Amino acid sequence: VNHQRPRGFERYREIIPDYEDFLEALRQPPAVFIRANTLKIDVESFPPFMRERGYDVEPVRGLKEAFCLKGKGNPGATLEYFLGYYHIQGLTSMLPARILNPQPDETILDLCAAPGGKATHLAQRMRNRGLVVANDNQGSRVNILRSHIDRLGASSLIVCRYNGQDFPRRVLFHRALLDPPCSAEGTYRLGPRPFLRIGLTAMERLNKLQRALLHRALDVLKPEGTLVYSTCTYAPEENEAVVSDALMQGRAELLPISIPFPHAPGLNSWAGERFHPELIKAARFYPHHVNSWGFFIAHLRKRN
Amino acid sequence: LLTFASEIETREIVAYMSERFGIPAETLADFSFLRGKRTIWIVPDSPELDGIFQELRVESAGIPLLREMTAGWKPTTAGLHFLGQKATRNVIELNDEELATFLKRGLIRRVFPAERGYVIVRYNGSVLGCGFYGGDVLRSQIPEERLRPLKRKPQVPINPLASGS
Repeated sequence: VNHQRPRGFERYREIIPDYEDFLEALRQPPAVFIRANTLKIDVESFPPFMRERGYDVEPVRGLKEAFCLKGKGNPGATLEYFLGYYHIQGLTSMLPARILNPQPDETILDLCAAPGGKATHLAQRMRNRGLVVANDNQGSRVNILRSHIDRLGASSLIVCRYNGQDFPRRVLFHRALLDPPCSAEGTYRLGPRPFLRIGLTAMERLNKLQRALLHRALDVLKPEGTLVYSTCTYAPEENEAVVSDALMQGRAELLPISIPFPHAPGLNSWAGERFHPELIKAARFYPHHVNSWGFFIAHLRKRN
Repeated sequence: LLTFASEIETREIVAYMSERFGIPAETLADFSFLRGKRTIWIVPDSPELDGIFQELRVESAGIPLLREMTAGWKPTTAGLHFLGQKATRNVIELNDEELATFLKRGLIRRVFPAERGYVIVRYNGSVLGCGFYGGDVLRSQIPEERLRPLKRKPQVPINPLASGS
């Protein structure tokens, strides 16, 4: 783990390709993306449905349920949102469910599920067939998760409130999604966040928590089960270092990520620390490549 | 903690949805019903469901469908959003003017072709949620917090061309 105190984005100058373009992208307001809720309306009917009601939506190539919503207004204050026809979600936040690729009739765990964008996306991709256990220990965020379940009709979601790292080992899952608490640097375009002042202690605490969560998520996977680890931060301490730990211990292998959005590979090293060589199979998403917020995704398969 | 509804309770739930709203029993055949303190939840059947309930402390499962009131069951707005499209009875369709009143939780005075009691309220083919119909007046039963975002910001189309702004 790099113990250097983070100071803004400057420390990433060497690892972010076209760094000046990256800084320029941070100054631009983010595009608004919405996810058509295919539990209520099919993807083909969604654009005419929205256009008839006065919304300007544009499909996103590579992710059929994703649409860019143009114009001004509050997309969370519309009748169509209230009725659950769409969910507001960052484009890169829609990628974990696509990469995990849950199948109908499977049992899936989302270990840190609130506020529920990814968990409801999993249920949607499974057409509410099978179960998604959506776990989170933060009460107020769980209430938001529940409101999204109700609004979107994600009836296959089971909500639990364990500390993720203490999640019981008694049930095994086909697949798991782990999007742990992180410093959220990637969401900078939504407005400056306190992460720029994040201290060493906080960074260490996050790293420790993320490792514990990843190990527990691997514990509760069936043999050969797969897992997506994602964060909305650029910090290698919270990304490659966490995944590398599990790979080095022989608990998992990394799977290649095939997705039609530009991304950079995971890092092999950072600040003198060498990571597991497979980490280049992970994906880093930057706002000057994909017009959304910064993201990291690793796709793992549990080793027996 | 939630527990599975008994066979008798399940039959009663299915009968209520079928008799009050005309939702066919076969529509509900692939679901399990769970009982909380005052709420009945609906969740799709899965072979893993039993195991999960035995091994995990479950806070909620699927969607809240009915609340137990002193006078009997009251359907939830979430439950009607989920199943209401299959309903054929006690469904009320609002016009544009009535929609605005309904979303503000105002009273709509009109005689609708429905029985007194809880009804499914629709607009333009979409289920808005639960209402209470008293014979000549309709009152929204949608929880206020769910309507709050709509109240706070008027429904201005996001497309500036459409809104004329």
